[in-house]
Amino acid sequence: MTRIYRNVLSWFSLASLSLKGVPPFRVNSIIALGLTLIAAIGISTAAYAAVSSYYLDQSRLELTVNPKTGLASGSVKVTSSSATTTRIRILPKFWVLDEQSAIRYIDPPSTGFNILKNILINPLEFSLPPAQTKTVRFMVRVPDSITDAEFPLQLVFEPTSTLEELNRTDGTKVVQSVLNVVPVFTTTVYVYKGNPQPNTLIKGFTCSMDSATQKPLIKLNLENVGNKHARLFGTLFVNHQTADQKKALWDVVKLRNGNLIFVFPNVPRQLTEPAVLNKHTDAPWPSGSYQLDLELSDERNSQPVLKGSCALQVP
Amino acid sequence: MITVLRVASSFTPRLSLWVGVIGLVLLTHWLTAPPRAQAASGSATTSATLTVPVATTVSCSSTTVTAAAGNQSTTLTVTCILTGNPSQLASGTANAFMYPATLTNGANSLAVTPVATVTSPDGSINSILGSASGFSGVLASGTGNTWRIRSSCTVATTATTRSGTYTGTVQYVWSTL
Repeated sequence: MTRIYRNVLSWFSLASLSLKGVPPFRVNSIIALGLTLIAAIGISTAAYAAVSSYYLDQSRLELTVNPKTGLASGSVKVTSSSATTTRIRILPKFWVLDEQSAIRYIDPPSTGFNILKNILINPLEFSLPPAQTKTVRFMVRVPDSITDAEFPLQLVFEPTSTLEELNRTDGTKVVQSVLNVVPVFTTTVYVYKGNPQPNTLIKGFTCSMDSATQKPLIKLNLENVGNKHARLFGTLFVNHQTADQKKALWDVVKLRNGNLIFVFPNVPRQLTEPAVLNKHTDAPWPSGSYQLDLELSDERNSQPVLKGSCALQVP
Repeated sequence: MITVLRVASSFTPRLSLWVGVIGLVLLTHWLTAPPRAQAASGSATTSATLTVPVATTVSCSSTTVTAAAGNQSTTLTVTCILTGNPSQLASGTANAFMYPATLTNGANSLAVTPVATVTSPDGSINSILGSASGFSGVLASGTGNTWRIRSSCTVATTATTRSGTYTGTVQYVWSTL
């Protein structure tokens, strides 16, 4: 705190030299008084930064288990971008996506096959000198009893060197809270045994006018009854129905701003988002009847294009 | 004849032993061999579907909050800036802020409550949700090659909270799904 006060005061001392007709001492006194008042209110902040010190050559891997050996293997190259040696630990983690597509790291199921107990990583922890690259190899074993299945996991490359904390308090009657931030990269690994396939179903698709924004709102419910995750791009064709009941394409909407929609087996996926137009970006929707035709296509063409439709009346 | 039978009966376990030893040697050699170019895509059972080098750099900073002793609720803000080529990988890029449950000074602890919002000043984030352990979400298609993501948590003190410095580690995890 004292250091912050000194720094701020020194900066303002320099600034005050340029103020004509105002004694520097008085300016400093006013600033010091103001800062003291802020401190009396109770809270002040300081900032420090941490920068990632490495990068990976593989951010996502899809591996197929060899049916003869029951093994699948891969490797990731870790390259240092730091001026000092970085120590890195690799943690295999089990993860799921919830209904809102938020990633969650959880413990694997307590019963049945546990992929985290069937993975061999070499090395698990290592020191990475500046500008050097280290290859990390891993191998996964899946028993013969499991036929068609998908196992998602992540290799988390966690720097273990601790960061130096700054701006510690010096015994005053205050409570200082410090968060060290560690940037972490991961490699997402999908292990496939047999021939798993996605099978996504549209369980609900509605469109309505949002009373708050006066813009159309899309609600989409998806469910994957297959055994492999689906990677879908969603496109919405907005058709305007004219007075003579003819349908004309008016605009195209890319769902989720063109990003992938992930649907994992047995995890219902819900999307609620405004229909952001592509051509008529800022223009209000003209009143009339609309038909919104939905198409969901898998990035890997693993399943046929899914189609849906909803009607919308704009007053 | 008896001797022949003895040899035959002892040969079977020795053969399996040798097979096991050779297998172990091969496995050890594979695990400890120096890296070869394109090792990830050379195997018949391995298919790398994403080969874009992820030369992405993440720079994170956080505020350090100092509060007077007493009942206070303070906010710590974490900002991470991604530079490099995240926009090329945006369709499957996910990120998560994993906050610690408590800050500690060695003897005492303060509870950390993640604030249920994550903001992105350049609008490059959507679908961010909060949970007890942090936040996660998916990046929207980017503007250029710089992404800025902001998250925060609160730390509450009471009249009985001991003064001192409380520290904890928050992880910012960047991944491609």
